[in-house]
Amino acid sequence: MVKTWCNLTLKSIKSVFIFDSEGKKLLSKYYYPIEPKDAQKLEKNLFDKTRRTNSDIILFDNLVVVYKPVVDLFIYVVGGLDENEIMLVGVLNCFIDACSNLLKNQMEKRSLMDNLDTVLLVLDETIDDGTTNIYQILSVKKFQLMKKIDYKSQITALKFINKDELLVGSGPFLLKINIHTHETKQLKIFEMARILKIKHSKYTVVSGQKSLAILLDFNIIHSFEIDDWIIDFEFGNEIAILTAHNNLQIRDWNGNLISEKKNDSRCMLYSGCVYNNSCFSGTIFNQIIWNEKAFIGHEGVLFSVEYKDGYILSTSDDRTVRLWNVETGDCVVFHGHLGRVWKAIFYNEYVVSISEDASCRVWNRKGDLLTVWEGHGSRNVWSVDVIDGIVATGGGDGGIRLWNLEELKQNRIDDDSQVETIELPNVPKSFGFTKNLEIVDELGNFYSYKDGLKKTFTDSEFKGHSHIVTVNENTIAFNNGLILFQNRKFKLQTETKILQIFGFEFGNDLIIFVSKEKEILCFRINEYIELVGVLSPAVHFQVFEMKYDGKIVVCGSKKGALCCYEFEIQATRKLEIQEYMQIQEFEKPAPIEPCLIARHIHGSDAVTNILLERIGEKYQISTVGRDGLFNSFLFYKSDAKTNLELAVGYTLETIHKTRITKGWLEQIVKVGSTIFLAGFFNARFFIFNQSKNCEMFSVNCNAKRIWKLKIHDELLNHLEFAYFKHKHINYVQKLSDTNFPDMNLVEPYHSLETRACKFVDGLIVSGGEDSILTFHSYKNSLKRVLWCKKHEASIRCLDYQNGLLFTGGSQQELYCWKLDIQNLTCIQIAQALKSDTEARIMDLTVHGDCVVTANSDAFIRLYKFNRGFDLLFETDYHHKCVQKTRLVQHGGLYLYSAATDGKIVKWRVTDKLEFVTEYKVHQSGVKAMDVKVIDNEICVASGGDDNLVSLIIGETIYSGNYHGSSVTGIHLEKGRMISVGIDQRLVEYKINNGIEFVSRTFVDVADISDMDVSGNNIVVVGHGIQLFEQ
Amino acid sequence: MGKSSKDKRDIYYRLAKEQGYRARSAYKLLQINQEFDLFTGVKNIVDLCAAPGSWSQVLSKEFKDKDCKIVAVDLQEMAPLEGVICIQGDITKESTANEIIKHFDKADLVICDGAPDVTGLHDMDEYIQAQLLLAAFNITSHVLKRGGTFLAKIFRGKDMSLLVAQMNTFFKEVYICKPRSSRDSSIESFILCRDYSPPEDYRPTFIDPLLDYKYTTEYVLAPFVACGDINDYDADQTYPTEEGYKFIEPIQPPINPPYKSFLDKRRN
Ligand SMILES: C[S@@+](CC[C@H](N)C(=O)[O-])C[C@H]1O[C@@H](n2cnc3c(N)ncnc32)[C@H](O)[C@@H]1O
Repeated sequence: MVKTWCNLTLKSIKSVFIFDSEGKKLLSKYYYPIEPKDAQKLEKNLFDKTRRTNSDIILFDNLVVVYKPVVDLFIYVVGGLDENEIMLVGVLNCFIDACSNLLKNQMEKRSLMDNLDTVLLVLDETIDDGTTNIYQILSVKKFQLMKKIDYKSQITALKFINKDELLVGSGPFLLKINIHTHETKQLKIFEMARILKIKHSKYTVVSGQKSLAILLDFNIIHSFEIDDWIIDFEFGNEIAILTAHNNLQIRDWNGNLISEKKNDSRCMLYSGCVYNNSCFSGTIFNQIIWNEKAFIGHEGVLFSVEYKDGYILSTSDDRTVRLWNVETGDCVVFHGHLGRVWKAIFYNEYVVSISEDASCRVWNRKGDLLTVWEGHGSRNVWSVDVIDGIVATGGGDGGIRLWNLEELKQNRIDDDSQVETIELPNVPKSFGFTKNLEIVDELGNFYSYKDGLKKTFTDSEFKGHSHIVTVNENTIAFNNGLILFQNRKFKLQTETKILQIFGFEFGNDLIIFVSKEKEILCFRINEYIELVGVLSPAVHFQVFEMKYDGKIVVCGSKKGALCCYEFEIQATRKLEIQEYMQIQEFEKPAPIEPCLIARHIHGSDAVTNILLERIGEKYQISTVGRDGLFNSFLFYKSDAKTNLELAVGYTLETIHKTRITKGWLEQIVKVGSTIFLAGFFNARFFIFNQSKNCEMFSVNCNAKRIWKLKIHDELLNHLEFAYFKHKHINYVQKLSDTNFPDMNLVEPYHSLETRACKFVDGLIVSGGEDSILTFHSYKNSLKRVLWCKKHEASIRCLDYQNGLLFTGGSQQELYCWKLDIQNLTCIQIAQALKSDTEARIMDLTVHGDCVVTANSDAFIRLYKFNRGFDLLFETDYHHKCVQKTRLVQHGGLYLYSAATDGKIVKWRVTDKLEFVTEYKVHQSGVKAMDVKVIDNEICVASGGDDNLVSLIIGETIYSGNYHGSSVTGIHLEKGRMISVGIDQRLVEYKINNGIEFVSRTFVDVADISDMDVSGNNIVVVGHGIQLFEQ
Repeated sequence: MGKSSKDKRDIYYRLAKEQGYRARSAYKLLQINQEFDLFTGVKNIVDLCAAPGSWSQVLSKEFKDKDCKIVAVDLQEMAPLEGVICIQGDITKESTANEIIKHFDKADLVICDGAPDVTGLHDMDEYIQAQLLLAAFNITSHVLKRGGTFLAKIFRGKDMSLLVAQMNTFFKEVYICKPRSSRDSSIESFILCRDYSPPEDYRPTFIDPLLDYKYTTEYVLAPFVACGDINDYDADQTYPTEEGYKFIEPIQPPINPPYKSFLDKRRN
């Protein structure tokens, strides 16, 4: 910056202009009276003249003009003849410096236009009535706009460049992501428009709303805006654009209109496609119009139209996809989607469609549904593209997933030709996977199967009904009281039958639990065998499943119960293993009693499988059951009272419950960090990826009872599945292309609107309509690090204090969570009682042990929090839906509350609320409020549904209109205020005996509902999230 | 959640059913009228995007037995109403506009409560909404007499200031109003334009209908007016249902929703 000019004062600047490169005036400011006509003439002459000369100072019409081209702008400062031109150049340079600083070095038309109001302010600050002190220009730093750091929202366009790189439209940003390395480049394409279409050949062409940009090698080479919404375009030497008013415009690359054809049927389009300069237009009157022809059949608005090789593919509000033969007009209707269908595309013999119902479906051209891919939260898949059998989908949740179309046949086994039948001379009875498939038949013949059948041995004592249990590479067989392990046989002495054996490997030891009617015996097998413990079963508890980790035994019952034992193996008398031995049971240790029993965790259906994991001092127990639920619990030492049937020194806490299927869940398999759930629905066996929330594999097999599964890897590239059918073992192996990239290309954000956000100790926590509490780290970029589901309905508000997070929402849900940032855990620890009004908790605030909620049933509720919520006091003083509450300490605790009538009420907080005073601030609802003590005075900033921001200091109310729509977020600090609103503007103010406008920044998040500020960071949420730095 | 849950959450939905209105929207018109006195001295009215017809019901009650003409238009079929001429058509289409114009020499009031089925893509929804408003305005520019009033639904999103700027060039007074019966949480509002005074040289035409503005640099803000009495029911409030309260079925469910076949198919 030019510092040497500091003390020079100019006296007679006449005017300042900015033109674009075509001579269009963008800004002008005159410091003397001039007729508009004369001004226009002057500007035109000036531009014409300066365009032709090369010098940057000219004398013109008794004026001294200095100017400078900057990118696509021409900037002029005009002074009187007596003015020193060097000083004018100084003003010009300073002004350019200041602007370019303000525009973050993007001194170009687009960013200038978006920030014109602030540029004008800079101008006003620097030149006052034609008089200026250059020193002032240098101090424009305070005008810095907010810098956009990261953004996550709906993914509205996808396009593969090649089989490694994917172009992504996320708001106004274009991303280029390598689907293998996840390396990502980002480029801002539009100022305000969201990218809705991407096409790619040598050039990339991107459109959104009325804007279009042409890129080469990920650099914008042309961009322009037209006068109508762009529905579709076709790109060649010229660009053919179909607009929402059903016109076909031909433009050159600079956006100049070459010709325009107004289609006869002049009505609004939601969708359409241009093909060889003719249009297939999808009207809101449910028809597709092409030339003179109309394709009629849809019962709702059309959301997409594609054309290829004589066929039209269309999707609609009526939940169908339709495939039309252009020639004959014949139509195939695809039924299956449960919501509006946004788009469908052709790919080889397939049709791939995406919908509001959050699914992507693949069909053949006859309309048969081949698969359903779900994994974008609860609503909306917005974009899709395919290349080389890889399908990419972009969701309303901001996530991008990849799906393997080639695997379709491999992942969905319908046909016996895909299944091998293992031919055995006799009827097999049981089997299990080691490296091979181990089989025992009705005659006691043992086989090993791998690429072929091998008979290993025969033991006639294992005739009849034998069982095989495999533990990694070990095989255990049992039959009544007889156990076979590594060619050794043990006979348990008692008569009672063995019901089940569970085995676990610990180093060189194999621990087996033998479950019998009255007891569970535990043996250690190594070079020797020893009876190391006896567990006594709980009453009415038939053990169906068991897990052991060396310290804790967890059993699941046939009737939905869970039972835990504390059990560590003690050394006992070892028995040398002989080839065939009787095990005496008289030296039995004393039976161990359960330490915890929880009934009905799966209703009264069987607990079919358990996953036991240690997390620090605690255990996480995950279970699946025949009620189709997947549950997770924390199990830890605690003396707290519980309402469990039995809990001695331990407690069990539900973390989450999810219904995965209407059928049965049978198995949990954890590979790496991925959890797979296997189960049956109707006649199908399926594997569901819990971590990714989607079905991965299924077999039409009708064999619920006897089956075994072995999953080899996290991506499910290799798996084996054997099942019993018609007295034979059927075997399915899936061995797939291991080069397919990770499915979760981009982590999702919330799948529905976010309602509340807050910075908490280095993370951003947010909650919204999808009822999932989500945590993001935000260093350089937003990254989801944790999410928890507990709320049944939407989350609307949250507050944080000393490791405790409070959340509230619809259906009167109010929770307290313990947040541990180090270990990244967030555990719900308390819940408030609901009243029966079904009211929504609109806001909450916490201070010390005091929690106050604002409720839609007009009540303010005051709770004391001490490991639980105690309702101390409630009042319906407002008589309207209460929208905001804030507690503040200032010589006593005070509460401010605000409601839909625009009033803000101040209360003194004791063990109840005492009315102090009220202010009528807004015409209608108060949608944002912040309360701070500044200069020893309580200040209340608020934003209203009436578009106003206001500030109460003492008894004075200041207010101003700076937003075009409701103000939904506000932040107050010393000397400064920031607000955001539905108009997608972030406005910054100076507080100085009132509110003073400083800057306005466009926010790319729609439907903004909350904002939080922490140090230099600002986070704004709504339909997505955006992070700014100031 | 049972059926009555919506009744608790939405007092105006409940009121509408109790008072025989086809939709809760009726209260929005009533409350705006309360603030701006829309109906005095008015004879000819166009109700655009009128189905299921609660605004028309309000008009039909208000102007009962008076010498006046009410024309209601909607894409959807609308159940007949006394004293109201119903036209089924797309208001963005020229033929529909012509049909409306046929009925009038000049109208005193044009109201439009049109809204697309929102998709959830905000820009798209806002755009379609703006287009409906402009289509309504194009019809208005053909039928509204000088000094007349135009009331239309608007989404208060990022481009609202453009529409305000545009309406400012045709009307002397432009307000953004929000009836208390419209939920605080919804982005809908109404733009009320009074004293129609198009530029002298303005010729309404369908050949080149008014398109929405390009982004201008102006950030035009219109005055905001909350409509309805402060003591009216609060649309955002949860009201308890009284003892013995009975659930009432909606008065006039949609006649032909786009997903009708879909529903039929699912039922079987
Ligand atoms: C919110 S409803 C109107 C409610 C109405 N004012 C009442 O009180 O019952 C919106 C209506 O706009 C209609 N609509 C949407 N787009 C339209 C179009 N292009 N032409 C005509 N009507 C349209 C819809 O069919 C829908 O019935």
